[in-house]
Amino acid sequence: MPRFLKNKQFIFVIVIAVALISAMAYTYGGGRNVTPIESAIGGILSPVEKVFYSVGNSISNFFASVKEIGTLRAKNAELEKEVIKLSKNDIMLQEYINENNRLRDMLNFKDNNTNITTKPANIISKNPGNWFNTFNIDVGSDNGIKPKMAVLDEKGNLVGIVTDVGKDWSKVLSIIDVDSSVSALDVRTRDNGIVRGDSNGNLNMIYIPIDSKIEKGDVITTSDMSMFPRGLIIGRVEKVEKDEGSLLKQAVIKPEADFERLEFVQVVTNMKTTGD
Amino acid sequence: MRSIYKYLLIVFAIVLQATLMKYIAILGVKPDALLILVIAFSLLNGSGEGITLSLFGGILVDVLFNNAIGFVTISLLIVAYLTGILSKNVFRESTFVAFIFVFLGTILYNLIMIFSMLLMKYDLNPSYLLNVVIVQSIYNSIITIFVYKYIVRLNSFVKSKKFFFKI
Repeated sequence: MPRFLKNKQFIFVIVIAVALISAMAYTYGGGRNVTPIESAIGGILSPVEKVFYSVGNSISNFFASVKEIGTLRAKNAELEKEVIKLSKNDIMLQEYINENNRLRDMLNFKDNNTNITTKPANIISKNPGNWFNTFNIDVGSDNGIKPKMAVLDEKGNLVGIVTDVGKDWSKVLSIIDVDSSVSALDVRTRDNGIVRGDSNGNLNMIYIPIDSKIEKGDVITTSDMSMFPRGLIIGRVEKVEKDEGSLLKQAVIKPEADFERLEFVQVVTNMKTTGD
Repeated sequence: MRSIYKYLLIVFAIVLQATLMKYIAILGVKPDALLILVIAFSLLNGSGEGITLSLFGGILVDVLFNNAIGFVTISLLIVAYLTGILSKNVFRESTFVAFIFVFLGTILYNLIMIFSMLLMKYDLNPSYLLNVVIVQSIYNSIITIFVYKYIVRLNSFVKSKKFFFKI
């Protein structure tokens, strides 16, 4: 028998390591209701985290608003201009909507624009490590949350997807995490692609056809081909790249949601398909 | 049961890490209070305590935040165990020794993390990897310089018999 096998501590460490690797393989991927023990651990710690998180946020908001005081007047004038422009657009859109409905009726098109219903939630904590972009929210299976529901920010931009659900808390995987992928669509050119996180806080859209006319500033939304409701805004194209020798294009996308300053989110509760 | 202070400290470090640490991030990289604590206690009291503390803290972090349970725990466990073994041959209370251990420990911790991410077929960005590993190891070891003497003091306080009451 080799000498190192007599070292009980070493064997213990090896056994634990093997157990952990199997646990990793078993739990990886999410989409499960967590066990009661995990749920209880989260239940005990989330109120504490909530307090710390909101204290931190209010302090940073205070400093942010102090910084903004100087630019408020200019910003206000700019916004007023924007409002005038948008209200003009709104009238035009109303016309389009009416026309669209009329044409739909003529063609007997089925209406597949179902409205989404959401449940508001507070963020209680963020992943403590540097590798993953996940956060926890304060609603869970008690509030009707299920794995694989979409999570939006206050303005309705896509933020992430619920992975694990506890009794009164759940884990959310942000779309900027390296492990996330979302089927996406360029609103202007109707090109389909997959949006993935690139671990730098930006997004990469891959699998864009080579003849696509996608360019900087295009709005990217969720497509109808994933489990997400369609038309949720993901972000704007910042840069289009073409791989030499590859038959596909790639685009760097700046997410529309501000992941640094997220505080409140909403969870979409009427998804097409949600876990089990 | 006196070591309950250490466990409470670790819970507190995790809560702080998850809520307020993002405000002191440098170049988008947060320091890791849990890792510093586990390495420090493992250095002071040997690998046995390193293993128990890393299991406690790691599983807590994994259950609370990570998708795959075991990700943080396995890296912490290996770092704590190695620190504990090597600590037999060094002067434990020295801040300089702790500085070196935390610096090397953070690099090893992140390398194990990257290795397990590669096994899970994550799409990794090499420049970001290097950034995190280097910045975090420097950041963690500089924090260690300032806090290590307090950890040593807490450790001797927990060990000493001068207790007003027993838990």
